[in-house]
Amino acid sequence: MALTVKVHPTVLFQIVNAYERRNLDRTAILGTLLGSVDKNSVEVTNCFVVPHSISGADGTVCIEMHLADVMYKLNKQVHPSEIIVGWWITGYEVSSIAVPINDYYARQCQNPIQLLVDTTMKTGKMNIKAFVQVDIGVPEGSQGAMFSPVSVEITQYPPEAVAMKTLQRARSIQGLVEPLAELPQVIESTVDLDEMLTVVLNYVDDVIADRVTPDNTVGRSLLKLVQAIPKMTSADMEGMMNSNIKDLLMSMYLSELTRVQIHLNEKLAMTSPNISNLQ
Amino acid sequence: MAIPHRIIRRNELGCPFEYVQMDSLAVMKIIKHCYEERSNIEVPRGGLLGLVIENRLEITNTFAFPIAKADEAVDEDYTTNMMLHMKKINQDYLHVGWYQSCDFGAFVTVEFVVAQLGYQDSIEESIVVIYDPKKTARGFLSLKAFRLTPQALKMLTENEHNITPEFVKSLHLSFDKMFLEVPIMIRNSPLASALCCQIVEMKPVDKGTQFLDLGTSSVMESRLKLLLEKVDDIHQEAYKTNKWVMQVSKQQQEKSKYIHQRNLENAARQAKGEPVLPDEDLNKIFRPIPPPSRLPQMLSSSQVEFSCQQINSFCSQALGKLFISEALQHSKAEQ
Repeated sequence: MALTVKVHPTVLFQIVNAYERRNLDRTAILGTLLGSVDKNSVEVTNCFVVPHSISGADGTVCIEMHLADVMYKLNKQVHPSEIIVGWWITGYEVSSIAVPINDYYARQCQNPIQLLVDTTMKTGKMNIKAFVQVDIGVPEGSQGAMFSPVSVEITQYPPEAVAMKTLQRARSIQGLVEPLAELPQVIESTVDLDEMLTVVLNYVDDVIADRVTPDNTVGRSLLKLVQAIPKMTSADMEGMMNSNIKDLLMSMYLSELTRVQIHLNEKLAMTSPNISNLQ
Repeated sequence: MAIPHRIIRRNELGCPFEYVQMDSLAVMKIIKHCYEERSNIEVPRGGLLGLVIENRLEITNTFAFPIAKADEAVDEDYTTNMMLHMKKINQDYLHVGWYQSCDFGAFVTVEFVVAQLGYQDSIEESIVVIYDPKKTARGFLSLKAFRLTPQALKMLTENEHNITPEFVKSLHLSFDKMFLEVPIMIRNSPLASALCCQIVEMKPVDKGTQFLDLGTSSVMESRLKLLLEKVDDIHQEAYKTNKWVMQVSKQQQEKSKYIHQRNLENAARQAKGEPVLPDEDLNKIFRPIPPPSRLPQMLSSSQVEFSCQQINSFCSQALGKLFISEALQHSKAEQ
């Protein structure tokens, strides 16, 4: 069964945040995944941390089930449609404590997904993988469990995509960024567009001068690009532009006028003669 | 970044910090909550957790408020439980404010002001973050943080049911000095930045380009409609004030007429040698008419001011986009 796990960025941010705030004696932390199950995909929309401890000698794991329960109930009050779909853990590879924890979660939901987030960044990248438990072994002989990987993709709500764009800018400059006002944002993306066009033009020049072998797919996308500009006569274009500009300027003028009148109204109300006559 | 200027402004307007620093986690959680509950609840709300460090207020986590039952503004049990839990998992557990989602930034209502007043009463550094889902869906992340100015606090606490014009005048308060906007910065911890890089690889950022959309009429329609409603409200309030002024002046006239008649009668009686009529308390006959409260008018004016600012910035960027598309069209026509 081709199961895909769709993860929202919020979940990953929460996992990273919880990892940063873990108690120093832990190397890995885990928690519950919440979301909804579809026919062949699981959408993970929320998660929370569950403290756990590994007792030294025999490596038994205990998790604070009471805390997990309380948190799930609190969450249900706010997001009634989210159910437990699995659990997450940080680390580089599936560890041996995965089996008992998976058992616990198998009691809470049907087919728990294990999400493994590599916050230690062993390979220089933060790998995000998902697994499902599969029973293996000979029926009469030794049984075991294996975790088979499932594909992970990132889904975003449209406003989340917008926020991600802003957050992306925060990763370069000491981690701090100010959300842009509207016009500066358009200006910035115009600059980006300019740079992209320069790259494309250089490529085209290189191909014409035979410095680079032409690539058919690139050529086709360039053709699509040029044809994407709608075919309008310049008169039509002028007409549309002018009417739009007029509308916008009119709105700006009216809103400024309203502002001035509001201020005036306030001043006049304050200086009304009858106010001082009140006894 | 003109920091000294900001320090002076903040201190005189009663704000103990210069800016608000939000963790990317807090931003994403607010967006997610408001998006998921946009059809169920009218106004999704939630609490902010964080603490004040140096010259900024850090917001590190948020949680959503459940739907309020009956007339309770906030479910106290839920909040306490949530904060206890946060403490156990090493998150900040200080409740430093609340957030609210408002379409097109139409947030200045009486309940809003009363709620923020409650928060600022109990927690001195509390702020409210307003998230505009419609504007964000159009492509511009819209998060603003506000506080009530000290004069507004004084006006609301001392005289809650009797906000008369002279009281407002004595505080030198006008509608544009009621709210203080605190700038927001968004922060990524280094690990979160690494996560951002990973997410970009897994999902190329070709989404989130809605802001390049040229269509403006739907947004302008809703904004202007809101503006019209508020201006109507102001008009109503102005009408009420005018009516009151006329009533007071009419009452004055009747009073002076009554006094005049009294004096005439007294003079006539004195002439005849009869006892003078006793002086009656004028206030019992002519009850002073209470003036209408100034609060709704101030709130509507404030809302109109915010809406106008937003319309302006929206129009400016729409104009910019139109000029860009014109340039592209010209370059194509010239080929």
